[in-house]
Amino acid sequence: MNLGRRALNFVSGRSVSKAWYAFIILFFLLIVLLPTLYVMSYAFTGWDDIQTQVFGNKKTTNLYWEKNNDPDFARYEVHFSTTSGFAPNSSTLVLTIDTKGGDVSLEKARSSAFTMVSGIPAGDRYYARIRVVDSSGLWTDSNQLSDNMDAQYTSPEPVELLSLWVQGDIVTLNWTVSEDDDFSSYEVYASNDSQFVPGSATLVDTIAIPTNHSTAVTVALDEVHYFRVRVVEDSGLWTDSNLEGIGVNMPDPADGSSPAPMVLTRSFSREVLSQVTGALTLSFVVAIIATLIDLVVGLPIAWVLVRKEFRGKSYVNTLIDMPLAIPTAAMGFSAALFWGITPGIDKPWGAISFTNSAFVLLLLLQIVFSFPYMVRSLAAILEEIDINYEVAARACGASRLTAARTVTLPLFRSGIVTGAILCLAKTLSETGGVMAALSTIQSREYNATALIGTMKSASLFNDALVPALAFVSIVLIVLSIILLIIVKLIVTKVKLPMRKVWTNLEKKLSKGAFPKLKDAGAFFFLTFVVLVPAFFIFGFVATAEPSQTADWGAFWSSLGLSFAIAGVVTTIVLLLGIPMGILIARSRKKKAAGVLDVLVNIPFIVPTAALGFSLGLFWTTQPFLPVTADVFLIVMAHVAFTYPFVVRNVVGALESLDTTYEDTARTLGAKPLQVFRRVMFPMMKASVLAGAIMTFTRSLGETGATLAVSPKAITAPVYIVELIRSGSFYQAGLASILLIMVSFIIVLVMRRLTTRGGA
Amino acid sequence: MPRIPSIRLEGLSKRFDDIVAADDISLEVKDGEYIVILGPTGAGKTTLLKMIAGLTPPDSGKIFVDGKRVDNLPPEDRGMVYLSQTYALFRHMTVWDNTKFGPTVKDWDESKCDMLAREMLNLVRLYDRRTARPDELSGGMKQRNALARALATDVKILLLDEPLRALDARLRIELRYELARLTSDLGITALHVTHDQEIAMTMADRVAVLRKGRIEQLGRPEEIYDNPARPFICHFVGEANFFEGTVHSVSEDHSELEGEGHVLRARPTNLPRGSEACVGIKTENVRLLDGVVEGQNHIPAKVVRKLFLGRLVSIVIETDDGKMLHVKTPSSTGVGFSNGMEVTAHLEPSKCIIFPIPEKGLKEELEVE
Repeated sequence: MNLGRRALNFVSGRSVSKAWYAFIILFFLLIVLLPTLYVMSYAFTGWDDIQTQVFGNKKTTNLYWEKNNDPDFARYEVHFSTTSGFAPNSSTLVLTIDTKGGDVSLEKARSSAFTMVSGIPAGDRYYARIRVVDSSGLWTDSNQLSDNMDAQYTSPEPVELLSLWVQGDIVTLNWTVSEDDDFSSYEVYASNDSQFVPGSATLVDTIAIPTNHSTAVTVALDEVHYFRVRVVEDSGLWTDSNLEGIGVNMPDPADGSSPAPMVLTRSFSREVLSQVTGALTLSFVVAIIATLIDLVVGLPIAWVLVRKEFRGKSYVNTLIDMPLAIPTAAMGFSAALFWGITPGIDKPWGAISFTNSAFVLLLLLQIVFSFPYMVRSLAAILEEIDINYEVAARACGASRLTAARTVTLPLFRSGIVTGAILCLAKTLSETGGVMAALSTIQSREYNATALIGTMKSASLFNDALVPALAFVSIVLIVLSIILLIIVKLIVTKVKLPMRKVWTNLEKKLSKGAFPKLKDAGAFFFLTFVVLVPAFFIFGFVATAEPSQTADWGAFWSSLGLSFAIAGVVTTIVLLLGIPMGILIARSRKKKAAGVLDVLVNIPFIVPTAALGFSLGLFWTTQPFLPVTADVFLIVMAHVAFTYPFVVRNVVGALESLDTTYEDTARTLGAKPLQVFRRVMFPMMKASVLAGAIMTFTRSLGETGATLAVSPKAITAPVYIVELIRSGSFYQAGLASILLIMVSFIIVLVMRRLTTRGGA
Repeated sequence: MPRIPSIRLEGLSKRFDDIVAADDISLEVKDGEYIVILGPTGAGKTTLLKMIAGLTPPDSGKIFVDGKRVDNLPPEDRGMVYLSQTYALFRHMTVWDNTKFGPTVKDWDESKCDMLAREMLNLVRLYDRRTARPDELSGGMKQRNALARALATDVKILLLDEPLRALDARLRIELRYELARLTSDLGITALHVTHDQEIAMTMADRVAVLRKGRIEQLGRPEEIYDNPARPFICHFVGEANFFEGTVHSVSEDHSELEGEGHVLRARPTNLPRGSEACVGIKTENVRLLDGVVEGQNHIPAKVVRKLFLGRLVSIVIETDDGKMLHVKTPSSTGVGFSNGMEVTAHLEPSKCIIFPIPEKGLKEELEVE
């Protein structure tokens, strides 16, 4: 007997397979389920923190500014003061955004042109300036914004000091024109000290005409001189330009220029609790309405797809599935450009651009994301309902509408439950698309997942946000689970008016133009509400003005990271999900298997951003295994939320696969492992591959879990969100298109492999 | 040379919650024997087979093959093949690969695998279809492919779970012979479960009648048919009419039962006089006479229904006190009877079998779940 067969005997042995199954269950409980729900423990241990943080009389302030592109960039400093017109100094510094000693890439710090500052007494008014500091220590301040957006607290946008030119002892300065409405004067300051703070002692010239953006100053010879130009408003508010230095009669200083000035674009604050409840309300209201709309419109489309034959049906089928394969960050950006009013750019050609309301945009967006789930679930059940029921009802004299409503629909509940639960889970969980869209229209509102994503990024530089994050995550997890249970109860228990029949009305509605109108309406919806916005990005990039060269290296490396993660995740999930699926479907202990089945689905309904936060908390706080490598954390998070896809598919495939195949193979002489490899696996290959594709594309497109676990790792969708945040729409568009095409090719290739393998 | 038992079951028991699937089953199957386990749906036939195959663990009991205990061995090491009623041909493999499956997983020499597969496919006349996939085969071919696959493993014990069930009637008869021929040619011991009494009668060396997890009778087909152990078997193998009453008299060569207004003469019994009993007679043993004819075991009746079955005619008659009797008679004698005709049923005493009244009553006894 050869060695291989002996090994096979050993592995197939009863005790080994028992140990293996114990391992699979343990893995699931410890590595998937526990981390997913770990944040709940915060509700007990950290509740006091959360309470003071969230319910206390504190507010958070959100600040956005233009990304600084200085090649020497070192850090942003966030300065707060209670007095308007303050000059930033060490006592006003509240937060520094830098590389955290190398933890964060410089690019990541640079593109974090956003922060949240929490723990500010709610009653006070705060003024903020952002200072950008370069590697030589030179700095430039932004304009001042208040958390009250009144113009009187907003200082003018800075001008940029462009060039210095020396002739003898005269230095000529040149700067950009201020476009401020309340322009009062330019003030030119000069000093020999590169760190000087402009003040009356250093004032050398004042110019009252905005278009006179140049002046000449006489200076001492044989010295280095540094200049800043201040824009002053009527109200007295001011903003300084960058610093430029020049040597007169001697070489120019090595550190002669501070970073170009940038504009603090938005600043607002809210009490933490109202921000959190607002975000949660937005999430749930949008999820419920989107699901209802999906149901109403999805039903006729599913109906047409199953019951009618027409030319191009297979194309419609593919089109409906497309949003499933495309990373949502790309799609969210696309739809936001289409529907939303985008500050800072001209209305793109062909866009509707009618709303800047976060609610309306999110609703439209979530419909795009969730629609395929509803149509697929409904179609799957409709496929199984024998058309003869309807034929029989019509033969008894019911009109087409009556027959469909009273006979087929009631048989349909399970489809509606599945569809509704999938839609709700998807909309509650969606993060990447939402963040992309909200950043595009520069919304001041967040839904729950975007709040987690944003806060988590900010918490990288500000630990005080963690309790608030825990609070949102806990509430989101609990409410999602409750909502899904309620949906299940409502749909299965509440009775629709099935008995009553409005013969004449329904007869009329079943004839003539009405059914055609209904079908046409549904397809109109599909085309213009789902498909066009989802792919609008192609048109945008084709017609938009190409901007400066993008940093493609960063994009490709982010894409590489995404692929590596998706590949590793898919492998792990397959290796551990298949045995779990087999265990659930084939266990003799039916009750235990049922419990396991329910548990496996929990990560599926927990919004991924909350899951990611919980998981990050779990892994970074475990004393026995202090693993903090970002990629490891992201892989674990992605494993947790994709695990149900593979397990569900395997269970589904096995439940429809007669156990006789396995029994027969065993008695024909096959060991359990041989049975799996030669009989079970080939028969369920298609389902397993479908699960693998799902896992791969979901991991590739996931933003929420990635951001919530670690804001430091830049995967492709995170990269897109950040491009949008820093206002680089054109690059974001190109990157989105590339990501869409790459994911699409993968799905096509995998599908080809699947069908060939399954034939 | 005395034959040693090929399979021996000792006290096999199995419960599923409150259902008893096997109740202390003991059975000896001789080498090369063809045993049919006959029973109604839900009698525990498949469970019994799966316990023997090692696919369902018994609650208690022992299983021996060739004198060696096997109930702690996994299915693949028990030296028997299970053939299911759905054939379970692996749909992702060709006929050839299916047939070669057993030898391959046993890691036999490649040339031996090929040789066995070729031999078995030739035996079932499927060699020409070896590149086909199972879904391209007809029902009979699938059945033969499954058989070839089982035989290619070179085992000497076949466990057949209603392998002919899904076939149409004519094919079933054909394959019945083929199966019997192959197993006897190859010297295979077979355990075949079925609910079809015709298969049991025609194929079995011995028949075991299974009911509610118990073997009620074990014997040659003729014994089962002619000398059923209890009313249920009398009724299940063939169809029978029953009369209830008390034992009126007993003698060396016959007994008499009094009940339902008749005194019926039946086979001898060792039941004491006056004890409660019943008499069963198979429908084909009731002879119909024209008009009212007085005589021993003669019962006057009226024809209420006639059903032409081809070779046989099934007739239902109603006695004077309203009891319905079922009669099967060859068409040649049966055609003369028509609805409403007065007839006399003659119950041949040597075919009237007397049983003690079953514990839970006759009605419950005759129920086929």
